[in-house]
Parts: sequence; structure tokens; C-alpha cells
Amino acid sequence: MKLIEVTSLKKGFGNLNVLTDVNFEVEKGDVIAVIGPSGAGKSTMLRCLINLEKVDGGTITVEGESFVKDGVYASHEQIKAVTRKMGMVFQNFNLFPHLSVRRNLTIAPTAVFGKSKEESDALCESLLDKVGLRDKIDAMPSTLSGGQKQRVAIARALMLNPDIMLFDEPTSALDPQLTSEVLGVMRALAADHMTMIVVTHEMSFAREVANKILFMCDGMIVESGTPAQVFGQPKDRRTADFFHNILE
Amino acid sequence: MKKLLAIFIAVLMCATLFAACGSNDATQPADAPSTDAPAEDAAPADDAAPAEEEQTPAEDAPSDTVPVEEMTKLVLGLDASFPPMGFTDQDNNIIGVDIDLAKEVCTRLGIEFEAKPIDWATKEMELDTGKIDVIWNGMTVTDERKEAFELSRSYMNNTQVIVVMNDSTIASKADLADKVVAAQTDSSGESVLMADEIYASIKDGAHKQYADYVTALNDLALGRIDAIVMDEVVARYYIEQNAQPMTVLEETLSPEEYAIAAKKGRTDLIEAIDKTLDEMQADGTLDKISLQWFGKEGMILR
Amino acid sequence: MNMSEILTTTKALLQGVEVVTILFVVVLIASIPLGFVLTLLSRCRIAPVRWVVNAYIYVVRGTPLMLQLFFIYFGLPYLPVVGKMLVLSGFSSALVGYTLNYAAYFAEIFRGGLLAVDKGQYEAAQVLGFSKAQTIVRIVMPQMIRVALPSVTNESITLVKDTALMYAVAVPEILHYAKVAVSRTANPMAFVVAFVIYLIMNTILQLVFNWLEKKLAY
Repeated sequence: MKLIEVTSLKKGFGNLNVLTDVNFEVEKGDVIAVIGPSGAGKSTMLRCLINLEKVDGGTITVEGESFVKDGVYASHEQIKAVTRKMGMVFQNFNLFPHLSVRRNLTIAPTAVFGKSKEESDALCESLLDKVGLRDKIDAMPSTLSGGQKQRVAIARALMLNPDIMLFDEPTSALDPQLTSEVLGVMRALAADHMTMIVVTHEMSFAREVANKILFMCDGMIVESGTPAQVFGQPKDRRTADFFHNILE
Repeated sequence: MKKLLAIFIAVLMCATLFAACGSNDATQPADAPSTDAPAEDAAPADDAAPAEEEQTPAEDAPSDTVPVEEMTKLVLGLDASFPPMGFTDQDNNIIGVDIDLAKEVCTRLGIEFEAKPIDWATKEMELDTGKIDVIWNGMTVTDERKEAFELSRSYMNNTQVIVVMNDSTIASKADLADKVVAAQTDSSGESVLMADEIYASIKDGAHKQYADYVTALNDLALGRIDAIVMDEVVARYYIEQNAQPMTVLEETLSPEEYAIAAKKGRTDLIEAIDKTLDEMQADGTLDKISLQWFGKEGMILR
Repeated sequence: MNMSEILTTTKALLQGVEVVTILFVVVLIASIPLGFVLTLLSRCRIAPVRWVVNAYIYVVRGTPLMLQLFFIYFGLPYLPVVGKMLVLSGFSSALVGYTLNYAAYFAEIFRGGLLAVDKGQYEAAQVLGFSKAQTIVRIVMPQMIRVALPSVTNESITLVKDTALMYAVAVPEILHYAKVAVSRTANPMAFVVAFVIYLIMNTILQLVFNWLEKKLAY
């Protein structure tokens, strides 16, 4: 079953066309790495998927339900219902600084979705175990390192039990020595068969963890395939140039 | 663009309010002739003609004017820092000559009495908006005030005097030349000083303004100013009460009279007060109050 | 001036403390929420609403508080038709005037506080399913208050001192009682007492706000 289907996605900011024509599909259990040069529209594409940006045209279907069809948006409730199936992790973590780690995790389930405090607390503790931060449960975000913040942010997104996790350059704001702990958590998620779309500059992660690579350039996906195909035998000149530049 | 619109709206709002106020002021002179006449001859007239009570007060008044027979309370506005006429005691009770007079008048008229301390500079607005019924605060009669208010007949004589320190070189009005002279803002002392021929020769060609007498007297003691033009009654009371080394010069600026003011058109109220004060004079009450505050009878005289 | 006279003066001035305190508490409680509503309205999607709110803030901040009090106390009764219903007592005028005035200042403070809340906070709240209202109440407001608190403290201290303007609309307050005491005793000691009273009031206020700031720190 196709978990996500994106067709003819278009998006512009003023005169600038950020996404010209984006088409791709996501199967259940896919770990998709979206790579490409800066300004290719990777983050914008990801943000469109979860309705942080409005598209100008195209269709986004999640688990068979569209919230935007040929550029026309569905009702507010429908959009909410569809985007709820996805969790999002941001480059800058976006933890709520005025809330403890525990409240960062439990506020959405309890305050928004009416889950009981006990249930949320139990889930919160088990997810913090999973990301290795059980001891930080009562800490305030300002006392955490960047890597710890991002791990909390991942746990927070998982609290709502999403079917798909979106990662927008999750390690770009981190010192190199802190990226590995975040990538470790993401590897573990992949091993648990979480469906993930990861916009990243971490080529090793893309190569080792992803089962599918989307290479974006100039607002569209110019090449896609398995890591072996894309990294090994890039068909498009732009892909080859990109790898060439990184290696230098 | 947004800012421009904001400015426009702001100006419009202010203009509306001003226009509303303005229209009221504009209609005032039209009413004036009918109500002015009795005020002008008030002093020589004996008892006011009862027919005049029929007169309707200015119709565009912001507050409904209640005829004196229907009044339940008289709100007296005063600058409560004007000893001995009206001032505040240590428990914040308002006392003084005017208060004793007004209380007695109210008792005789069978209405309640309330003393309301106001900012002297806003007294006209207080009256006009009906926040107070009368200004009764050792207020000197001037031509402007005759125009602006409904005035009672005078109940006390007062003179504008020059106060200096005992060791001052100023001995007469002429000595004020090149000296720093002060007066209370908007007071009658200020207006007689400004009208006097000496005014042009005082230091800077202008006097120093004070919000109240006490600050002025303090500055006189400190040497910031050389002389103050003020009400004799207040000056003498102050110097005596506080044993200050100050002198009231023999030469005075002009004799003055104190009167009670109501809003223009409230002839009925002023007549009722005038009549009651006359009765109080006849039965000796005024002398009693005079004795109590000034140590002698006859200071309060119709 | 001897000790007992100072005590008498202090007692007289304390009568002014009551009215000042009531004004302060009521104005603070009324103007802070009103200020926040103005902040939200100034970001309203409907342009005329924004214009009106911005014009309001512009006018209120651009004119002296005393003049505004005069308008309410003396000016409103002159308005055609409704004027007669708008004859407010001095204290009511003060309550209305100070509240409207301080709400405009608080609106600007809160606007600054809102700007300090990162865009990512709204996005995180949105992807976690928060509605707009939930986002404002649970995520934005606590952070905004934290940012705005030092300025709110500042305004509150100014408010205590601004209460001295109440006498312009014939409400006797601390400074008025000090003035009449000075005029009675011909001794400026009452001003010193007033000085100390204001200072004590603002010291208490600052202690409360410092405590609040510590409590809201994160």
C-alpha cells in the first residue's frame, strides 16, 4: 500500500518557483533520504507534506486520503485528520522552552487529544527510554545539549503515534560530535520499520539507512532510486556534479 | 499608508470631541444676555425678584440642572490648601471659614453639604459639567469671573498685598522693579499684578507662577523669589500661624471682594445662598464665625 | 517637626494609599487582559480592525494621560445625545482613563513579547495538533509573558507614580494629601513622608515582580 503519494506539486514564493513539479511515492516502511544542493526545495517539499506551507498546485495523498487535490485544499478538519498521521522533527528542535521535558512530550496528548495523564506519562517514560533520556524527564530544555534536545523532539513527535515521521535536516544545527546520537535514534526507528522521510546532508546516513534516495534539484526530483543506484551510478549530470562537489 | 490613516482617524476623533465642546461654548454667549443682567446688578439689588427663579438655565448644559428647591446636596468645590478659607486638617477633614459658612447655609436650606477638593485650574470645567455646584473658596470677584459665573454678592473684603521677608529691601510697590515677583497661577493676585503699571519693570518682565501659595511662600523663605502678590487674608493667617519672618507691605495693589460662584444661569441657587447669608448676618452667625477664625467680629461682612 | 507630627502626617497620607492601591489593582487587572486583546486585534486579518486598534494605540501613547483624564471626566458630558449618561465620578473616570491608557502601553509591550516568540514554536504546535487558540494560550502566552515581564514591571511602577495625576479629576490621593498637609503646617516634611510612602509601595511591587520573574524563569 502506498502510504504517501505526491503528484505535480508546485510551490512558489512570489516570483521564485521553489517547487516546479514534484512527484514521488512512499511505501510503508520506506526510509527515504531527500538529498540535493541548497535551495533545491527539499525542506519546502517536506513542509508542504505536513501543511506548514501551502502548495500552489498538485495533490498530496496520505493513506488514500488527500488533503490537497490539484491545488485545492480540503476542509480544515480533513487537513488536520490527514496531517495527524505524520510527525515532524525540525532542524531547530522547536522544543517548548517554558515546559519540562515531560510536559513537552505530554502536553499534546493530554491538552489537545484528551488522553489521560497516566497513559501519557507511561508513554512518555517509555519513549524517553528509547531515546536514552529517561533521566532528563524533569529537566528544562535550556539545560539540554543540542543532541539531547533533538532526541527529546523525536520522542515528542512519537507521542502521537504517527505512521510517518518527517525529519527536516535534523542534524544540521548540531556539532558534528552530537549528530551521531541523533542519527543513532533514527537508525533504531528505521530498524523498528517506521516510515521516514529525511531531508539530510548526512550522506553516510542516506547511504546506510535509507532504502530510497530522492535527489532534488531546481524544484524537482531529478533522480530517485536505491542508494546503490543513485550513489553508484548517477544517471543525471546534476547528481553526479553534486556528489563531485561534496567529495571535494 | 496605514500610518496616514491612523493619523487621520486620530484627528477625526479629537475633532469630534472638540466640536462637541466647541458647540457648547459657542452657544454660551447667546444665552448670556438673559442670564448676565441679573448678575451685573446683583450687588446693588436688595432681594432678588422671585420671578427670576422661573428662568430656565442654559439648555445645552451637559448635566441636568436641578432647581434649588429640589436639590438634596450642595457640592462645594475648593482648592483645599487655602487657609483659613478652606483647607485640610491633619485628619484630612476639610475645614475653614468658607466651610463653616457653607455648612450653615446648607443646614438652613435643608440640604446636604459636601466639600470636594478640586484642582483649582479645572474649576470652570468642574462647574460646567455639574461635578460641583459652587466654587466657594475665598474667590475674588473679577470682571472675567462676573462674565463667566453666576456670582453671589461679596461676603468678605480682601486686598491683594505684597509679601516680603522682614529683612527685604522692598518697602513699597515701586521697589518691585527688577525683583523676582510671584503669584498663584490663575489667582486674582496674578491678574492685579499683571494689570499694574509696575509689572513691566519686574525682573524678566514676567512673574513666577506657583500652583499654590505655600510653595511660593517656601520659595520666598528660601530666597528663590523676592516678593509674592497674594490675598491679604491668607497672607496674614499664614505668617501668624507659622511665625514666619515675613511682612505684608502697607501699600496694597487693590481692594478685593470674595464671592461665591455657581454655573452661569444658576441664579436661583445664588439667590438662595445670598438670602441665607443675609439672614446669618442679621442673626449674628457671620460674626460668630468671624470671631472664631479671625479673632474679631466684622471680618465677614455683606 | 516632631515625631508625633510626622506620625499624624503619615496617618493622613495613608488615607491616600487606599485609593491609590484600589486604582492600581483594578487598572492592572483590567488593562493587562485588555492590552493582550489589543495586541491580538492589532494582528487581526481584517484590515479595518487593525487600523482602528493601531490608531487607538497611536493616539493614547501620543497624548498625555492627564489630557485623556480630562476628556473622560470633563469632555464626555459634552458629547451630544449620550453625554448626559457619561457623567462619571472622578474615581470612575480615573479607572476608565488609566485602564485605557495602560492597555495601550501593555499592548505594545505584548506585541514585542509576541515578536520574541520563535516562528518554530507555532509550527511545532501546529504539527502536534494544537488549534490556534490552544497555541496562543498554552505555548505563546507563557513565553510572551516571560519576555514581557520586565517591561510590565516597569509599567506597573510607573502606574503607581502616575496615580498622582488622579487629583486632576478631583480624586484626592497621596500627593494631594501631602500638599494640603504642607500648606497647613508650612513644613515640607509631608513631601518627605509621601516620598517614603511611594518608595515603600514600589519596593513591595518590585519584590512581587522579582518573585514572579523567578517563578516564570526557564
